[in-house]
Amino acid sequence: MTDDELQINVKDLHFSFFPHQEILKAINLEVKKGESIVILGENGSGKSTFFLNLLNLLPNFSGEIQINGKEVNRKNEREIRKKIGIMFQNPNDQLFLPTVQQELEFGPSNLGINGNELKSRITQVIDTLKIQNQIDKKTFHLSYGEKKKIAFASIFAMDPEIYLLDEPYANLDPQTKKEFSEILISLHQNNKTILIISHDLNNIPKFIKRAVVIHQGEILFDGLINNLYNKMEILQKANLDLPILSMLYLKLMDDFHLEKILNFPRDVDDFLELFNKNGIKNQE
Amino acid sequence: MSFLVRVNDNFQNYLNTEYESTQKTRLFYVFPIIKLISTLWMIIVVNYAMIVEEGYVGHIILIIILLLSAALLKINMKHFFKFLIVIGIIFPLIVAFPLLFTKEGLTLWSFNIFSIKITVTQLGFNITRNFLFRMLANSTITAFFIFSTPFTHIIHIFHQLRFPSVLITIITLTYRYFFLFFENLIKILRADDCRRFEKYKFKKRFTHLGTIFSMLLLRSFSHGTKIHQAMLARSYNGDLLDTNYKPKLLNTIFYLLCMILLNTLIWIFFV
Repeated sequence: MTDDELQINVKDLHFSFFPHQEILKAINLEVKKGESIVILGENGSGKSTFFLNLLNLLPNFSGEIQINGKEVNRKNEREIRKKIGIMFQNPNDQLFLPTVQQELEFGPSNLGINGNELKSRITQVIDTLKIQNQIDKKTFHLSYGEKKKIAFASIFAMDPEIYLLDEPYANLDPQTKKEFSEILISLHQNNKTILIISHDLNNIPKFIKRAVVIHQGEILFDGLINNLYNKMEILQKANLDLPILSMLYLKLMDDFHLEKILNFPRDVDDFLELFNKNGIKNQE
Repeated sequence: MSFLVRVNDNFQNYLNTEYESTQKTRLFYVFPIIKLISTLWMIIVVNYAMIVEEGYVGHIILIIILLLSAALLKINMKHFFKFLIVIGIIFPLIVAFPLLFTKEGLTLWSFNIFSIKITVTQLGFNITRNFLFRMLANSTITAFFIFSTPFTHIIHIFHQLRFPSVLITIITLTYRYFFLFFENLIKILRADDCRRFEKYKFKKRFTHLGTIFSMLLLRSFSHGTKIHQAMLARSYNGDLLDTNYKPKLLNTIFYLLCMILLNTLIWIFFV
């Protein structure tokens, strides 16, 4: 991989809030432009801290972080933040303006967008995310799921190159999850770099092929998700469960002596395809 | 607890409607910095010029003029009166109450509490009365400014006046932080209520309250830090002014003329 292709390059990143209590230990990560990654790990493993470090929002990390070839430091942190949109796990930590309209305008206006351009961008965001019903509401009157949607809309309006999404699917209803997945797919198709934090393998969109597992501040695994599903010892160490469909397939594999597979099913279609293929073989 | 919930609801309601209600006033399109300068000038007049013995008459007239103007300019009178009652009347009353009894001079009224003789003197009464009306006048002037200028415009003025960015951030966060503080307090007290099944004894109650309040500060601080991080992540540069806002010169000139007229009248009659 050449340096030109790299969008995020993290070398030997260490971070601690207090001396002798390292949250991140020698993190090395390379992310290409347009790549989508899921960062997995149990609660408190350092995933969110890693995201905050990418934007230089926490003081004094050691090591090197490069975004688009530029080193992240105090001098150019503002420039770098313009390229990255971060969605926090808890939308209450993100939304602070009284109205949804103000919340959506906050980021773009800080980027120097105003007048008609700002108006058309906000209209585009409202249409794409289907938040027409929420736009006139007060931020504090929104439900948790609606707040999450608006938190995402507030960074979507900035049109960043890199999306850092901390547990985007947590506490969302199935319909909103589906809509959210569709938006992520379109972002992926538009060559945006997407990093998602999760501790639940059931909620990973199918277009994401690469997974990074962080455990106690260290990277345990970095590779294809399908390879991770075959590494039970890593999943157990990181306190992660296989997706429910993969667990079901494993059980069926044992009970019905189905063919051993390397690519575990990630959704119902995958599962049915595998089951029909191997199940029918078994019957024969 | 219900009192706290009510205070929090009122404050959040105010925050939610603050921008819209100031937008409805006829002073919205006056240059914010001109409004601030005229407000500061009037405060100086009230505190350093109208300090004659009968200055309170001037204060009362000024308060009436400002109240009438506020109503004419479509300032939200509900917010205005709430502010005046709390900041302009209740707080000054608490502060001024001891002044009634601590001055020597002609006795107006006296009574005994056990063996202590409490006396209200003419001088004490005059000082207290002047202090109260001066405070009320100051509060009315301040209310006139804050209920016609959204918080984002006030922050913009600080930005224009080259205030240190740290100070501006602290002011912004304190303002936004206030509701976080209440929200967290309510959540903590509610969680406490759910798991406490009997009344604590006096000493334990104090220890417990101490723990709750220290936790409250920590939680509010942590919440505030996260919000600040979210602001920085969205390229926050210290200014919150909405980019569509354009002050109007005509409105500003008219406002300035009214202010000059009012100040001249005050000067002629009361200074």
